[in-house]
Amino acid sequence: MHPVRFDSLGGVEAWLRELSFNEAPPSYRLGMLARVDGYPRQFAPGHSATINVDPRSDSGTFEVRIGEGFMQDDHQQVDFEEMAAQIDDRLFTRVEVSAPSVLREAHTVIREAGIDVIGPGGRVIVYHQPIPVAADLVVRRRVATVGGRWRSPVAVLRDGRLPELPRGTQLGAHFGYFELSMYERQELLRPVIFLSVDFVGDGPTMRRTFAVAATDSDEIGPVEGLGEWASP
Amino acid sequence: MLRGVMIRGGMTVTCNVSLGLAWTTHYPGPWAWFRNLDAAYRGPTLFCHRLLLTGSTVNFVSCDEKVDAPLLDGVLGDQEAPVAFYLAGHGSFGSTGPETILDHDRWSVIAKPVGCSMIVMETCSLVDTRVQWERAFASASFGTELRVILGFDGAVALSRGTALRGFAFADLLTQGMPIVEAWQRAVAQTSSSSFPDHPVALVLGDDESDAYAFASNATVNDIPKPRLTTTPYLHLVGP
Repeated sequence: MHPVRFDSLGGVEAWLRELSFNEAPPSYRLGMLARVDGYPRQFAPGHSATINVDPRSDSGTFEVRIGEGFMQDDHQQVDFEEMAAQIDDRLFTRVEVSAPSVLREAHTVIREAGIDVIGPGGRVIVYHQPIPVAADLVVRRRVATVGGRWRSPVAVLRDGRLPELPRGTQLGAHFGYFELSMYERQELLRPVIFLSVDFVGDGPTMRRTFAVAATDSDEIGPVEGLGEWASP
Repeated sequence: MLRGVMIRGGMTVTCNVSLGLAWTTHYPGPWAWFRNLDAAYRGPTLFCHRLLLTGSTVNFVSCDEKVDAPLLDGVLGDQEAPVAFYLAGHGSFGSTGPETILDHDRWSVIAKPVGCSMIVMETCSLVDTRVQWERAFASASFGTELRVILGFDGAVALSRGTALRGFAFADLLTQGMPIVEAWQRAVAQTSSSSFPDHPVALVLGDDESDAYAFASNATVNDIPKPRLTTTPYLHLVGP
């Protein structure tokens, strides 16, 4: 599902109601891995450079470092997506790169639910300059499932403070599992409505982006898993 | 002082850089909850936090009602100006170029020469590539010290989550990564994939080759000497 743009609150509400016709997707407890399964060499059979896959202590995500002798075009010989699949079994989809320094980028889909992972995480990013870090594997292992139920559209809109917005506001929304960046610890992967709010009236342009929980459960807190992205 | 703090598997590089930081949180007018930038402190603070762990020092910090154009012009124009300055607040781009909207004032990064080598503008619209942005920089007053301004093309999200880019940028600098590459990566790593922000780096060189060399190679520990000319060659990296 792609991000959607709205010019009215009613449009967002109708979109949320339509989403909730489907079965509520579960949330997942996440675990931290000490290492990626398998020897890194297996992911680059045609290349002789040293490959290190190191965990970050702050988030448990992984950085891929490749030694000297690695040229930019060599990235095609390294299966970074397969490395990430050893961390969590998802579908990986190559997408248009999101920044000029990015050479290759893949987003992920939770296979069982058929739902995209969105946020700053949930991605494999390969960079133009391999030194010192060639790629970020920003995926975390799911270790347990937590059932959930849809929150009402009214509750979602209220959390996002959308009814209070001024005229001239443009809304963007994206539904998916929300994964934090490589700099943040995360213990729960949950379905969210990710919102982008732009004010383009008189005065400076203003933009805010944040996540609102799409489902809830008696077992998880209202903003658990959202990190610093919970506040509009 | 802490040095070489481990965030990942390897040791980080010592970054002995003088830092300045400022931010504006509150803005008058209606819809204050939306207009105010409650998270504006996070980018500069997290940037500073990460670099302090590797040997840097802070020699200027201010916020909100204490920040205005005379203060910034005075501190940044001084010979003892911080090497790296990080500013967060609202911004806009007009006929006179980028303008930072402060608590009760406006400030232009290109109106007067500054003594910093690197300025981070965590504001909207350092440039706006939808218009002929170069025209606004034709009459800019850069001095010779400034080598790079990091910011965004058009609107940028300044929220609690995206402000983590300040930490990410510093973290990448401490790996010895070139400044321009570190900025682009930091924004890519901390923006949402749904609605990505668009980082740019405006590099100032004596000539084209100098500007391109800076963009490719300059690290925070190895910032080239001041330019020879006050009318630099401008090289925009990104979007």
